[in-house]
Amino acid sequence: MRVDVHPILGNAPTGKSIILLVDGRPIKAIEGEPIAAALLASGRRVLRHTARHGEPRGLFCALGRCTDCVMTVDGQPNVRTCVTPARDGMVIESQVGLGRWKHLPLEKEE
Amino acid sequence: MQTRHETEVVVIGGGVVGCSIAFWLAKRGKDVILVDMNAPGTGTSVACSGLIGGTFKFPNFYMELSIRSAYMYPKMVEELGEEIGLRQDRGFLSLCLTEETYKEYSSLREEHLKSPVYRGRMMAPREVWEIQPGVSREIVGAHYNPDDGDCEVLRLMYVLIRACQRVGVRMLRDAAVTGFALGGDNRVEGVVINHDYLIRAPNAVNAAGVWATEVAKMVGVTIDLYPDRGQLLITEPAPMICPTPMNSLKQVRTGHFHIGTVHELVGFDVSVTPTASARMTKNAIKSVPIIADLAVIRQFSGLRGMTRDGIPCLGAVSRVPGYYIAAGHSGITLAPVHGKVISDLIVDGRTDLPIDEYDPLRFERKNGSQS
Amino acid sequence: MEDDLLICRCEEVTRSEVEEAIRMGLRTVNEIKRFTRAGFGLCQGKTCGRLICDILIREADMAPSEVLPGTSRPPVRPIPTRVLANRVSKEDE
Repeated sequence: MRVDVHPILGNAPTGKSIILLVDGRPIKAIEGEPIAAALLASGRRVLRHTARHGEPRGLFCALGRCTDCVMTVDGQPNVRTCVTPARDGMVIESQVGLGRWKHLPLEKEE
Repeated sequence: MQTRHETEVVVIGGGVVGCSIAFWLAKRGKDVILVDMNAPGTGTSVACSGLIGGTFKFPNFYMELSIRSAYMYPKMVEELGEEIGLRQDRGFLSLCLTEETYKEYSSLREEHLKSPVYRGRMMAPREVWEIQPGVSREIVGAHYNPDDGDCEVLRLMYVLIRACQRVGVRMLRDAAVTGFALGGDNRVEGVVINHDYLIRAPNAVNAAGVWATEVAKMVGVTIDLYPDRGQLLITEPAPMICPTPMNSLKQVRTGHFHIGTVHELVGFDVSVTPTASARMTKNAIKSVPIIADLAVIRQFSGLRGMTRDGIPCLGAVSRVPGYYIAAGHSGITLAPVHGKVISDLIVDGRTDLPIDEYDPLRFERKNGSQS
Repeated sequence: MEDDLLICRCEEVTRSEVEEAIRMGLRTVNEIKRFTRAGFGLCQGKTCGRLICDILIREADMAPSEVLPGTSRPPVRPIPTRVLANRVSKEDE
């Protein structure tokens, strides 16, 4: 869902339509809007699962303070999706616990 | 002055050293009051990286005592009854990023080899990568010591505090020692708290860490422990790629990296500096390149209590009967030894451990002065 | 109030864990942080710090003026290590 006309903020800004790859599935987004906004608009509310109890987390403070909305973006875990602008082709993965790090050496590397 | 408490031993300082001493004394039947000028677990003990070992500690007798202490840890954990995140099965790596460092560590190793206790060796890069996948492909080698390890200091601290409470140690917070009551023969009779009241006791243990110099001065003893500031950076957590503790850099159970190390002589100032964070992160990235992608979430500092000869103070002060000192870098490694030695001295009047070299009065002898 | 109420969202620390720390005799936000890990997460206590102050006032029977906030540590927001490493300080030049 999106708020197209807001009683105080007025009309939603328009922008280029882009595609984000979220857990392997493409969703539509507007370039430059926060990743979390695009995810909410696409109907997705759970952004990650916690490390200790494996509980689902979504948007909480929505202004970059609480880090509840972190996801793995282009292979980088712990990215605050509420303040990170969406760009075309971004690969976004829901994060479980610490997440999986790109380029991380494996325990039994040659 | 009003006497507010009476006890057998007052332990001054609620760090890992003070709590270990208080725990062993209480365990061996002594009535103990532990005082801290702030609160137990608020000083150097909770601002360090928790390495336990003897690598490159000189003279060799200091390395030997450190390893002895490391070997006492599992037994102590058993007595304390709770896990402290002890890692002693993986050894300890000191990485060599340059040929010079490799040469330096090799020659330090030669010196250590004069001791029968030492089991360290130099390691080729391939072997290092096998036990530590996260380490840079650019290293020249490493020094490896199978007897060293580490623990989680915050756990150790609170497990000790809880154990002290369980064995009946009374703990007073916001209780700064401001003086001593001494008897005719200079014997300890009590400890003055906050210029306000007296704790009457025949024994006082100065375990005040970097603040021990002040507490020694109150009975006319000069020990010259000075603050050497270290800073630590904590990164966001990542999956475990460095399960073996290293010097200046370790990854803890929760996945965070602890990045050190600097030595700064700036008095008791505990602020942190961007110069230090730049230097420490540069070195850390050279050692473990993936660290470049991790974010730093916290920077803090702590004060080591260093002495001019590099070894701590441990023992009774012969001139002031009933006064004991157990202080100085490194408290985490030596906490079990401090606990055993001081409780031996107070309960049995003697100890089996070789502590002559750690005599707190050695500084006065070297100065050739008696205050 | 519910015991499993989340106080620190990052490290998943509950109200009952904070109360256990207070029962142990801890009386500052910094001590409670070190014991429970509340405030050790990515956000560095931005949400839980004030809640812990509030619990201290009520559970430890402290005056609001006696309860100091926890120490704020740099950096305020997580900063990639590579950014810190590339910083050239005046002292280095």
